Amino acid sequence: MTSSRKSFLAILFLLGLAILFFAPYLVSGKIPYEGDLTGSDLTELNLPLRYLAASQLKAGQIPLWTDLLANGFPLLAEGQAGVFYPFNLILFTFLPFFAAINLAYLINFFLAGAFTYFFGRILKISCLGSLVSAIAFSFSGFFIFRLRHLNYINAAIWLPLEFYLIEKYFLSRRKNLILVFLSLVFGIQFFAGSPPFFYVSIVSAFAYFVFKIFFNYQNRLKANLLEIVYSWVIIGVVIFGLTAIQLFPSFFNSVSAGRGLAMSYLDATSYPYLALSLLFFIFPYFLGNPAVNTYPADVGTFGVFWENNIYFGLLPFCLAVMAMIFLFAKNRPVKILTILALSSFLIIFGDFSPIFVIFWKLFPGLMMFRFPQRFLLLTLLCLVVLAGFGFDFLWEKLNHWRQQSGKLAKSKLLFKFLLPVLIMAVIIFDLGITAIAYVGSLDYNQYFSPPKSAEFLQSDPDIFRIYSIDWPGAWRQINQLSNGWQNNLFLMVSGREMIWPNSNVFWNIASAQDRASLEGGMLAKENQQLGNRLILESWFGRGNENSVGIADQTLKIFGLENVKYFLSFKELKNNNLVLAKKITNPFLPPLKIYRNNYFLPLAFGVFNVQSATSTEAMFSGLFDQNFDPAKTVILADNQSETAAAEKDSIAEVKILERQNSLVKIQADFSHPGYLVLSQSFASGWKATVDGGKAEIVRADYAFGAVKVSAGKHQVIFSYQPLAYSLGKWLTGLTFGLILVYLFFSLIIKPGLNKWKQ
Amino acid sequence: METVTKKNGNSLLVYFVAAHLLTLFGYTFNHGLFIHPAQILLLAAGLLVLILSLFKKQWLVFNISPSPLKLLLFANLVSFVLFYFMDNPIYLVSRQAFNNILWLQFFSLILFFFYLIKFNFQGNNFFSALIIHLAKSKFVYLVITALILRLLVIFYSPAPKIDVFWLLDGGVDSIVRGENPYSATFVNIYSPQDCQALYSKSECFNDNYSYLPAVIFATAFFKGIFGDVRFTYVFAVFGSAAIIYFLLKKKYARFLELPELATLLILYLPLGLFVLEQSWVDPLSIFLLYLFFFLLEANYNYWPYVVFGILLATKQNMLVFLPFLFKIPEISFKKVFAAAGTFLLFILPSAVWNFKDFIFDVIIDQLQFIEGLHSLSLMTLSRVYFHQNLPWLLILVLSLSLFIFLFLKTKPGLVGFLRAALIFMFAVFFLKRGFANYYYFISALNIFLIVLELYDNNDNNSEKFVN
Repeated sequence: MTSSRKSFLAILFLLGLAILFFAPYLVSGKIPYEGDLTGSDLTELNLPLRYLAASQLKAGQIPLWTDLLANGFPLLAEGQAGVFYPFNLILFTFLPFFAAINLAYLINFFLAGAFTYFFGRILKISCLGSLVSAIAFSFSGFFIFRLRHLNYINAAIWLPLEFYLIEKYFLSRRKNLILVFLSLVFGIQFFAGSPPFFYVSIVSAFAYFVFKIFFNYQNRLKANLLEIVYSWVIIGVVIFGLTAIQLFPSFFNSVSAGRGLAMSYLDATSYPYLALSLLFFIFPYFLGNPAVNTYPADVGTFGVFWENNIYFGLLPFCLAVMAMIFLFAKNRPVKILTILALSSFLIIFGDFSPIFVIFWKLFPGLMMFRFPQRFLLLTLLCLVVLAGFGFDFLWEKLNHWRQQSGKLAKSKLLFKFLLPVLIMAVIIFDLGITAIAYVGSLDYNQYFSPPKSAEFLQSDPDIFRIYSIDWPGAWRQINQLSNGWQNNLFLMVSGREMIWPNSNVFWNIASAQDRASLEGGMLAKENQQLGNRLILESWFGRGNENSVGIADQTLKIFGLENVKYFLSFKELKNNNLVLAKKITNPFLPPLKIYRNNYFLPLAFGVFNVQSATSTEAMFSGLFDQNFDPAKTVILADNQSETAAAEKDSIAEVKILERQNSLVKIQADFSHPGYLVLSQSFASGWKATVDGGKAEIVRADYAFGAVKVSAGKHQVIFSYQPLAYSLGKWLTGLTFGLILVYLFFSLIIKPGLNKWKQ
Repeated sequence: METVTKKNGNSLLVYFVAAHLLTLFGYTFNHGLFIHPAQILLLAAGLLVLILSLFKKQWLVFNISPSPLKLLLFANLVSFVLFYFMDNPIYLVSRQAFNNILWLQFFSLILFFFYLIKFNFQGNNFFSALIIHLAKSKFVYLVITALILRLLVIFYSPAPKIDVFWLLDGGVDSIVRGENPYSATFVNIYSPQDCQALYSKSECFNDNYSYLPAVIFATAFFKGIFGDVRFTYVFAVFGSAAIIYFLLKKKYARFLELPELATLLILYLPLGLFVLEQSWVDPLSIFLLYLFFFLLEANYNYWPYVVFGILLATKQNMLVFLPFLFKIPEISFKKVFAAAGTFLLFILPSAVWNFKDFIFDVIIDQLQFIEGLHSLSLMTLSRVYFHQNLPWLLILVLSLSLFIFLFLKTKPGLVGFLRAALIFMFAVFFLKRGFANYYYFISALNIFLIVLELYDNNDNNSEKFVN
């Protein structure tokens, strides 16, 4: 059989394997499910964001902003929605949501395997060896234990292709063309919506490139350095141009976000990778399995299971170790991969590494991310490819022994078919049972159909937001009760009555919360700060295990946030909260929906102005008992020149049109005043009053307001971030130039050469 | 340049190495603080060996006559072991930081053992290939590890509880703001309880910039680039190491282990990490002194003396070197003028800016220093055993006598200059006041004496001499 036919069959096999794994979900109307420390980053982060992006794209809008999350949420700039990631664009926009989810997984697993296979082949590993690498990579714990992080998987699968292209670069004479392809792959990876794995990949690829060049050409330091600089400047420029449409909005959003551009060393290393975690390579569940709630809850001590565990099969691990020990001295790629794999632990161990702090301080970009163990992606790729080398080594030894000893000389069937099949079967079985022990399956219709709470809320015609009290605590208790997501998903499904943030988007209900904001998140700093204060005031305020007392002033601020309903398993205590609905479910306490008497509309007029000397002063002003957001607005000192309100001041405000990036309002003011929009104050929002440009000023710390004179006016708020506009043009221009270059390189130039000959 | 190898018995190298080791044993325990009289005796022995090396008569005959390579191996072995066991920063951010530093110190100790052991491996598997690689590239890894260790000290100890760090840091901030560091007040690290215990008053102020102005400029430069004044010392230590390496590499091109081992003596000088953490400026002075010698060896005319002027403008006790400058035969009025001019160029602006503050910070405050019981000196011993200070007159007479003796006894030349200055400084520290950084400085000078001895040997490239 020819090599290309073997490769074709191997790729088919990998596709078949991915189908075999995900087809049961597709056929039975389910999706894979994995919980998190609280909730699930799949059903409450990745899928809602994709759902939002796809909905807006289907409506012909670019998903720049959504008003369904966190008082307004920069959907594109936040990045995790992966708005421009090609597979997201195709699958989620054009296919039913359920099919898109499962196909996204299937494609990822297939591509991860295929890319690894090609990388193995270009390193001259046999077809079988490459297949071992491919299976070990794509069905490793890195992907299986991370199914909840679709955006991470989307990004991580491209690393083997990047390494493949680097190998190609050193083999090819058309180096610039390869560099452009490499940049394109990086660009796609960036759009996947996982900056940490994009960063890991670019650092890993750079390291691989540098190792390659210095191992290949050992005695030409200057030329090597020049080549490195030249290549990576080209790559950097193309990536920058290509990704500008996502990069610019994300960067400018990060600057004003609560999380900021850098994290503290303590934050970055707060979830450790222990020496103990190395045992995961052999026993994936030796510390327990979070899917059945047996993994230690103290993640600050033991680390996060799915961040630390990349189990890729016992046999491939042994093969990789074998390759490292016996081929290190003889085989250059093995040497490079071994060095990369082992040195990656200097980062992965985080604070336990003697030199991580130096990387963290001096290595550009590392300060932006948590979880240094995400470099396990590099370790994994190196180890699985080493496993391929190990397989070939073992195979060669076996054949050699066979020839030397004359034993089993006639057993062609055994060596050509049975043994390879047995080895593959062992690896697939090993990885398969590991996956089955971990991945849950969630009935799509059951989970995504509106729960009773959502149906109740949908029946209210007002524009409002909801707030789920102590949802992480509720989720953890349900998870405890269920004994993990593998045991009793029924309770998890019942628990969604709470409408976990951000699952609210599936039922078109706006929430004042955002799932990611608890972990830093990318909300505007003030919006997040306000959210944190409200958590303190409402989750843990005056009460006991079963009830929470919320102060009047806190309710008013919730009202300012346009929060009309609170959802809680606990009893909420305040005279201005009215129990509107009680939903019972077997085995769970009844979910209570409370109506907030201090609820304020999305947009309202105010005539009293309270001035504040700073943004911080605005914040403390909000929680002053005398402050009533319905009557007064807190503005910065230099904005507060409006006359004091008179007794008969009236503002009638009507929302005429509301889209994600646009709010059209009719405002009728008896006296000059401020039209407050209960939406996060963010750069990029513009306002017009009767067609004339108007300034949006920061109001009540986290919101925006426009000054309106007496009379009837039409006020339009629209989101037009400059970063997106600039990025759009730069991406378009870069993409055009790349197309021209590819057209010239692949079609014109070969044609000219042919003509010359 | 003179050759100072003794004709009979042991070479001077043995004396210098012995003095170096005795000094190390004397001061490296307990971070250079007085804990036991034996420390004083060891330091006295080190000083005595150095003094005895000046005499033609062999007062000491060592029963061993090892080759320079073996001597350096032995000196390094002691140095590495002391570095591993005794050297550590003390104001680290976490226990893990301490562990990480210790791991790297251990790694460096293991790497050093590759100088002592030869491996007969084929290199056909990972482990043997790794060992062969490490054995081949041990020096590179040791240099990298030395750098990493120093970076770790800076990153893991970002705010050491010592006034020197804060005055240097604040001094840079002052000069950047256009204010006079000698008039500034710096971050006070002491709590009222600390102040009461240390100074018998409830409030302390850190308002004396006790170093001379060259330090301000050097630290400002490195803080501006890297964000921490202590990067100055990282640069200084590696600059010193480079000087040693390149000086000896020229002479011992065929026996690179010799320059490597000499370089490791300074890179792994015990208490190097502690001195760095505490921000004492001695590594900078050492570097400038090494540079001065290096430039003289490279036959520059005036540049060495400009560097010497800068050296004088770093720390008050560097002025001790000034009279011994006349031991250098090529010295001329112009050269002295170059040194003095450079010194004044640094000093005068600060003195003119606010004379009173400057004089108070750099002279008066230093003279008012009250001797404690923690200094590693004869003075402490006197206070511990006789409950009184050594008489000033005695110190003065001894110092003056020693100065005259050294000035007359040492031969003209660079080595003479260095030996005289080294012995004199050592004696003064030993008599009056010595801390970890003082003896660290002495050890560094001793190392350079060893380097110069190796450099000056005429038999330098022969296998017989080296091995």
